Amino acid sequence: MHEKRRSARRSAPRTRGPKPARPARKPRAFLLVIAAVLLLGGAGAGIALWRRARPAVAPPAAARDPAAGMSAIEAATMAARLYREDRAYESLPYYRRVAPEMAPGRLDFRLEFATALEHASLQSRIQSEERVRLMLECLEELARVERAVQGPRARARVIVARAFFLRVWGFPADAVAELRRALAVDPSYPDLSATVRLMERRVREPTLPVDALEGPGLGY
Amino acid sequence: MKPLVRSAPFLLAAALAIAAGCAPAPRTFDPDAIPEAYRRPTGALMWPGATRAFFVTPEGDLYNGEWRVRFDPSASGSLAGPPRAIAAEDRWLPVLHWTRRAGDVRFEFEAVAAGSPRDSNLIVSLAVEIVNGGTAPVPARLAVRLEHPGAAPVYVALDAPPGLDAPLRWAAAGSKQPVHAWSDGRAGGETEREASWTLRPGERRRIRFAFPAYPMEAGALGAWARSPHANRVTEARAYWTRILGEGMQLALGDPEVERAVAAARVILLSCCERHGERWLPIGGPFHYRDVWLRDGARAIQALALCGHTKVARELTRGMLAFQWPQGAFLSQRGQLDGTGQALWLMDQALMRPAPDDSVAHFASAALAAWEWLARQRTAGRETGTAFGTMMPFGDPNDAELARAQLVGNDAWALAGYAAAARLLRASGEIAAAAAIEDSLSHYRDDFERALARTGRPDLPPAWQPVGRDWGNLAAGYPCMVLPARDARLFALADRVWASAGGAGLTWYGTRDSLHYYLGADLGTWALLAGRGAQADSVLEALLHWRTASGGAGELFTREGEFGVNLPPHATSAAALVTLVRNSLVFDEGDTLRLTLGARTSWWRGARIAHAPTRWGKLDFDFRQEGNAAEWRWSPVQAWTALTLPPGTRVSGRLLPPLRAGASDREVLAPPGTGGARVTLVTGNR
Repeated sequence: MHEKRRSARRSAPRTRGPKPARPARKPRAFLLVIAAVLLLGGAGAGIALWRRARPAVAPPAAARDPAAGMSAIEAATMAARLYREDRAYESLPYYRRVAPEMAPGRLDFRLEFATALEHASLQSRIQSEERVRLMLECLEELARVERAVQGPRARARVIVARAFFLRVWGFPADAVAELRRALAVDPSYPDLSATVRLMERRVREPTLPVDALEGPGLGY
Repeated sequence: MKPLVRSAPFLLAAALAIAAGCAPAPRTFDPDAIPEAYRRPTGALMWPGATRAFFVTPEGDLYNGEWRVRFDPSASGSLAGPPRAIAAEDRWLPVLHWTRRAGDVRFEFEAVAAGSPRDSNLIVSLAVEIVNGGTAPVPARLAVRLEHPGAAPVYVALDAPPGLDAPLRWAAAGSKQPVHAWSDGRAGGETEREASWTLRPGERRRIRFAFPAYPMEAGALGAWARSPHANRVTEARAYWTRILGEGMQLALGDPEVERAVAAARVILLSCCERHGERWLPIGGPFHYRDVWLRDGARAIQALALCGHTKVARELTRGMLAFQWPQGAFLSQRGQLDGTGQALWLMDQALMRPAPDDSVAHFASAALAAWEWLARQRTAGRETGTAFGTMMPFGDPNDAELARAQLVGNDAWALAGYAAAARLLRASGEIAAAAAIEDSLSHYRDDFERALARTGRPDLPPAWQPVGRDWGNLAAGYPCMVLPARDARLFALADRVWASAGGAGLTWYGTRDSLHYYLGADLGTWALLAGRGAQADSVLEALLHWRTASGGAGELFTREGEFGVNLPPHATSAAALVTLVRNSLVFDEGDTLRLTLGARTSWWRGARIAHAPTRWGKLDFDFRQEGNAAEWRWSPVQAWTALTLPPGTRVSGRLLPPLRAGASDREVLAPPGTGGARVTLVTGNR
C-alpha cells in the first residue's frame, strides 16, 4: 500500500517503450505515435505507451566523455544505435560530439538530437536538476535550428516539435501557443489545424477521458 | 536591550547548552529511553553538501543506496535482536546510538557522519562497544559484511552504477583498488570482518569502523580513520553546535520543542546537496534525494525563518536552475505550482532580515516568471470557459493526482505575484512592481469569482470536481490568498480535520494514511484565525510523530508504519520549524505578530534571539507573572500585535500607547514600541 502511495507521490519518469526501426529520414510511424501522445494528453497517453524504467543507468558523475577521440562518423553511428535502442541518455555524448560538425540548419539531425535530449530528460535515473538542464539544452537546440532553417515547412516542423516537448513536460498553454505559431508560419502543414483545435479542447476540458480526444496524427 | 525575564539568561544558556551539544556522555546515554513514534526504528547519517547518506536500517545495518554494511552480533551462539531505537543525542544532535542485545551481552553502537572537504562524499565513523552485563563469562562475536542490497532494495542511489554488483572491499594492507570500509585491524576476507571474545562479567571491548558513502582509496580512508572515533564525535558535536548557534535561538523552557526544532534544523541543513558551485535542497536523504520545487521552497523558507540566511540564499540561487526559457519554474513534469513557489521562496530567503544585495538579479528572474504566469491567464481568458482566468490544467502525477485546473496552482501563483512585487520594489523597479500589484488585485478578484462558481462553501482541490486536497490547503497560509477569517478557510479546515478525527495531522489517499506536513499549514492558518487550540493540536501531532533521532516521516499509518517512505523528510522538518516560529514571531503582512501560539508553559519565561524578520533581526522576551503578561522586543517600524497567554483576556483599560486588537486576546503596540505590560483576567468572552 505504501509502495503504491509512494509511487503516486513521486512517480519516476518512465522510459519509452520499444519503437519500430526508424527509417533513415522521416520516421512517419514514430511521429504518429508522438503526435498521438501530443494530442491525447501527454503524460496521460504516455503512461500507456511507456514502460517502467530500468534499474539505475546513470553513469558516474565524473565519467569521462565516451565520445572523445571518436570521428564524427563513428560518433554519429553510435548515437543513432543507442537512440534506437532506447538509450537516449547514453546517446547524448555522441550527439554532442557530432553537433558542432553539422550545419546549423540540418533539420533531420537537429530534430533527432533535440528528441534524444527530450527522451533522456524523461527516461534516465537522474535528478530533476539534470532533467531540466537537458530540456533547456533541447529547447536551445530547437531555437538555434529554427533560426537557421529555410522555408516555412522546416520552421513549422521545429515549432511543432517544441510544442510537443512543452506539452509532455506539462505546459499545455505554451504548447497551444506554439502550435498556433506553427500554423501561422505554415498554414498548409498537414493536420495542424485539427491538432490545434484538439489541443485547445483539451485545455478547455482537461478532465475529458483521453480517448474522447481522437484526431489525426501529426509529424514534425 | 535589557532582558525582561530574569531567568531568561539562564534559559538562553540552557538552550545554547542544548545547541552546544552538552548531551550526556555517550555511555550514559541510553538510546532506548528516547521516544520513537514509528513502528520501526531508523536513522540517517548525513552531512550538508554530501550527495549520499547512510540509512541506519531497522535491523541496525547501514545502507547507502548501493551497498549494505550488515552487522551480525551474537553471544553464546545467539544472534542479537534488532535495536529498539536509533537515537540522536538529546533527540537532535546527529551522533546516533543504538543497542542490540544477545542475552546479557549488549552491543552498543555509536555512529557519526562527517563530510569530505574536497568532494561530496561523507564518511561514517562507527564504534561498537561489546559489554557483558551478566554475571558469568560469555563468548561474543561480531561479524560485519559488505553486501549488495538484493533484489528489492528499499531504494537505490540515483548515481549507483548499473547492476549494483561492483566488487565490495574492506581496506587491507596494500589495497590498490577503491575500498568501501575500514576497521581497526580485525581479521576477515575481502567482504567480511569478524572479531570474537570471551567476555568476563562487566568486561567491555570496542571495535572501530569507517564507512565512506562512495568508494575511496584505501590510503585516504586509513588516514581519515587515524583520527580516533571520539575525536570525530567531538568534531561533529562542535560543528553542529556552531552551525545552529549561527541562527535563531529559542529558550522556551520547553526542551522537547527546543530539541525538536534543533533536530529539524539539522535535517534541513543536511538535506542540501552541493553540485559544484550550486547548492540544492533535496526532499530527503534517501529515496527522495532529488529536488521538487514544492519541497525545496518549504525547506528554504524554514531555513530563512530560523536565521540560516546564507544557506537559504545559496539554495535560492540554486533554484534558478529550474527556470525555463519562457519564464516558468518547473522541476517535475506537470507541476505548475513551481513558478509561484519559486517566486515565493525568493521573497522568503532574500528579504529577511534585510533585502539581499543580489535582489535585483532575482527580480529580473521574477519578472520573467510573472510575465509567464500572466500569459497563462491571458491565454485562458481567451478560451471563454468558466475557469479560463485560472491557471491552465496541470497533471502533477502526484499530490492532487488529477489532470485538472488545480486550485493550488492559482494559490501559489497569487503568492508568487505578491512575492514578485516585493522583490521588484526592493530592487527599485517601482513601475514593474506597481504593474504586478495591479494585476494581483485583478487575479484575486478572478479567484474569488471562480470560488463562487464552484458552488462549494470551501476551497476544492481543483476547479473541476476531481482531485485530492493538496495545494488548496496552502491557500490560507502560506499563500494567504484570502483573509484568515474568510468563511471558506474555516470550512476547508473543518472539513479536512473532521475527516481526520480532529485537528492534528491530516490524511492523504486513504484515511489510514497520515501525512505529516500536508495539513501543517492549517496550523499557522489557525493561529491567524484565532483558533489557537487547534493550532496547538497540530503542533502536538508534529511533535509526537518523530523518530528517536528527531526526524519525521511523510506518509505513514496511524500505527506508525511508513513502508518504504523512509524518514526523515525535509519538508516535514520545515513544517515543524515553520509552525513553531510562527507561533512566536509572525512577520507576513504589515504587522509584526508576537506570541500568536505561545503555549502556557512558555509563558513561564521565554526568550528568542536573532530571529530574522522583515523589519530586521529581532530579540524578544515574554512571560506571565501573576495577572500580568509582559513583552520586550527590539522595536520595529511597524505595528506589533501581541497575543495574550491562552485562556486569558485583557483586564481593565490598556495603558497608552497600547490599543485593543482584533480580539480580546490581542493588543496592538505602535511602531517603535519595545515593551508592553498587560493586566490579565482568566477566561475568554
